[in-house]
Parts: sequence; structure tokens; C-alpha cells
Amino acid sequence: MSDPLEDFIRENRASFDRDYPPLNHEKRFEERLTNPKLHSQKSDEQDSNRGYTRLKKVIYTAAAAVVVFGAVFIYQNYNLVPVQEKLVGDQTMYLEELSSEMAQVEDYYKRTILTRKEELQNMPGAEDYILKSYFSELDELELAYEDLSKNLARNYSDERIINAMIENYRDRIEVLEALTKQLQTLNE
Amino acid sequence: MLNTRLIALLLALAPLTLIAQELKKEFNRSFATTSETQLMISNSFGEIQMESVDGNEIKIEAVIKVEGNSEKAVKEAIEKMNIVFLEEANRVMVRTENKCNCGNKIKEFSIDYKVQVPSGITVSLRNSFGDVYVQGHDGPVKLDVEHGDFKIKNLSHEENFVKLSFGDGQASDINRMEIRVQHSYFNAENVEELSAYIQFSDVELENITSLYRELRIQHSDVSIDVSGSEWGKMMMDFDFSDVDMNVSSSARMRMEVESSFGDVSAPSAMNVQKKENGFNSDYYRVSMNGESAPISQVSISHSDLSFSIR
Repeated sequence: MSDPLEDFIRENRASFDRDYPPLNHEKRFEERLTNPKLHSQKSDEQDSNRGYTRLKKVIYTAAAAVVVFGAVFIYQNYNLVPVQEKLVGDQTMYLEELSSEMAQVEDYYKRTILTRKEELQNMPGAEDYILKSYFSELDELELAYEDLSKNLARNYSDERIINAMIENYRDRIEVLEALTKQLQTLNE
Repeated sequence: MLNTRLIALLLALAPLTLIAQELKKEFNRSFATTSETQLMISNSFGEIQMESVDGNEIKIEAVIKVEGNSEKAVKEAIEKMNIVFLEEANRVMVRTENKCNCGNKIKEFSIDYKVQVPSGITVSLRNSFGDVYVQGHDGPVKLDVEHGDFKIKNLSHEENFVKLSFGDGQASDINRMEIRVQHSYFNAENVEELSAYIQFSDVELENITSLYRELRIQHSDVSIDVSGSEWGKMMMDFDFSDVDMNVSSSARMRMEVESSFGDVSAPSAMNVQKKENGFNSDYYRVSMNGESAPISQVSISHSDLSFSIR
């Protein structure tokens, strides 16, 4: 039983024979059949090519390893984190100097405190002695914040100090909220 | 293909080399004591745990621990941290010295103390950025805690002083105690005698047998539950605060209250006489169970004092 595909190829042979072998290929084929030495020479060349490719792979891998571990070593030992070194003594460092996120946090608290202070000063019943009673505490908290900023200058990745500084801002806002409540009660 | 796999494996393993380096420095010291001995510890960035034991010896175990990504930085940091022990006459002074300007070269560090002391000696502990625990001591205890919490229990001496700023404090089963609290939450229960100065804080005082000397409360919310019957003569000053005072039904007390922009409210079991003293200024006489009790002077400004019977 004949194969329909084989039949089709045979019938349309001309249209399949579009590529031609290089010149003298039949001669070369015969030579290789009659002279096995030639065959083994070619084989040696192929083996040598394979060995070279393997060596290249090993060299690339080793180079990659050197790059990766070198980068880790440099990171560990030379601390390439983009925060400027501080001269320490009475130096201070504020949250805004730590990162852009912290700068946003600090800016938010500063603006909130400033705005609320202004609002409170204009509230009915905001007599000097009442404002002073609360604002003097804000001054105390600012002094405490300055102390914290000196601690931060010495150790600016310490979360305990960073949290205390954020807490300090929250305390200031709480003081202002208490004052707001106080003035609202007086105005009732 | 092979080298791609190897490179991927190396990249995956690379973070392992970033595993934190940790170094510790340990101190173990002991000191002979007499009944006059005073122990003072001043520390930052760590815990102090103190317990009382029998015997005549102070034992201090302290550990400085530094963690970071670089062994070099960790070594440099730990070399700059030290604990200084000094014995002088009747005093044993222990101080944490931290000369490390570590910047961001280390990840974290702590300096923790475990202290055993003979039960009767005087102890003074100062700590910031860390917690303090003191349990079962018969000698005077002085505590100053900043940016940290504390827990004290079973202090039987008559002279205990506690200062707390920017933290949480808890005290129970204390004989006599003076407290100074600011920007904190403080809770005390089962205290025989208490004197307090509280600013910008929330404070709950439960089962206080009696108050002594002074009770100054500014910009705070305070509830005080006084279980004892005998009230001594004392000074109370409340500014911009809400004070709830729960007193025993058998309390013998008398108070003269001067109030400016303030209110005093009390249940009918208490005798309250009010006299207007001018614009938003009132004078109150508060008494309960007898007119012979010592008179306490109370000043109220922009505050509410509310009594209830327990």
C-alpha cells in the first residue's frame, strides 16, 4: 500500500528540489567513506570545540560569581547607602534627612502643628494664660525633640529613636488637641 | 544553559551572604554589700531586669549585643560600647558608655542588664530607650525611665520614687511611692500611700489606701480609687484636667476647694457646700464622716473634680 504523502512528494519533486548541494560534494562524500582518518580528524576538531565551549561557560560562571560576591562584599564593607556621614558632637539630624518618606512625614507634622497653632490663637476664649499653659509644653517637647535629634545624628538607623521622634510630634498634636477641646468647652 | 542556571543559583544564594553578623560582649560582676550599700545603674538602649535575693552580694550580668551586615562595622561598634563599674565607699555605680557614632553602619544594638541584689539595699535605676522590671525589693527604689516602659511589683520600703516620661508604667503592691509622670500612661494598684505629680498623661490609680503630701495633676485624665478611711492633710492642684476620685464610704475627709473655671460634683452621701467667689470662681467645702478630719487644700483651674463612693 502506497503512502499518499510519499506519492505526492514524488509527483511534485521539482517544486521541492529548490536547494542544491555545494560543488564536489559527491567526491568529498566518497573520500570520507574510503578514508576513515579524515573522519576522525574532523571528530577531534569537534571535540576540541566542545571543550572550548565548556571552558568558556566555566569562565563566564566564575566571572559572574566574582561580580555577585564582589558586589555583596562592597555593600557590606563600604556601606553604599546614600545618607551623608555626620560629624558628631552637638550635631543634630532630623527625620527629613533620613529619606524622602520621612521628609514627607516631618513636613506633614510641622505644617499640621503650625496651622493648628494659628487656628487656636484666633479661637474665641484663647486667652494668653491658657495658650501659654499649653504652648509652653510645646516648647518643652521641642527641646526634647532636639535631644532626640542629637541621638539620631549618632545612630541614624535606630528605630527606637526614629519612633520616639515621631511620637514626639504626636505628643505635640495631642497637646494642641487638648487645647482645642479646652477652648471649645469654654465657648459652650 | 548550564552557566545560566549556575548564575541564577548564585544570584539566589547571594542574599544568604547578607545574613546579619552579630557580636556579643558579656560582663559578669559581683560586689559584696552591707545594709548601707547603694546600687546605681545608668543605661540606655536596653532592658534592666532586677530581682531581689537573699545574701550580701550584688550580681550583675550585662550583655552588649550588636547586629549588622558588615562584620567590620559590628566589631568597630561593639569596641566603642562598654560598661563601667565603679565601687566607691558604700556605692556601686554602673554606667553604660556608648561612644559609637554608628551612623547607619549597624542594624541594631542593645545593652541589657540582669541584676540580683540583696533585698534591703538602696537601688537607683536610670534607663532610656528600654524597659525596666523590678520585683520584690525591701530597700528604697528610685526609678527614672524615659522612652521606655516599666513594671514594678512588691516594693515594701517607705521611700520609693518613680519618674516616667514618654512610656507606659505599671506598679502593683507597693508600700509608699512618689510618682512623677509626663506624656505617659501609668497604672498603679494596691499602693499603701501615694503622692503624685502628673502632666499630660492618662493615669489610673486603683486601691490606693491613702494619698499623702501632694497630688498635682496638669493636662491629664486621672482616676483615683482611694480605699482607706483616714485622709491626712495634703495639697491638691488640678489644672486643665479631669479627675475622678472614688472614695471609701467610711472615709473621714475634709477639703477646701478653690475653683476657677472648674466643677466639683459629688454624691449625696458627701457634704458639699458651694459659695460663689466671683466670675467663674467658686469655693467649695467638701466633707464626709465627721468634721474633725484634717483639711486638705484643693485648687482647681479649668478642671473637673468628680467624687464617687466605692
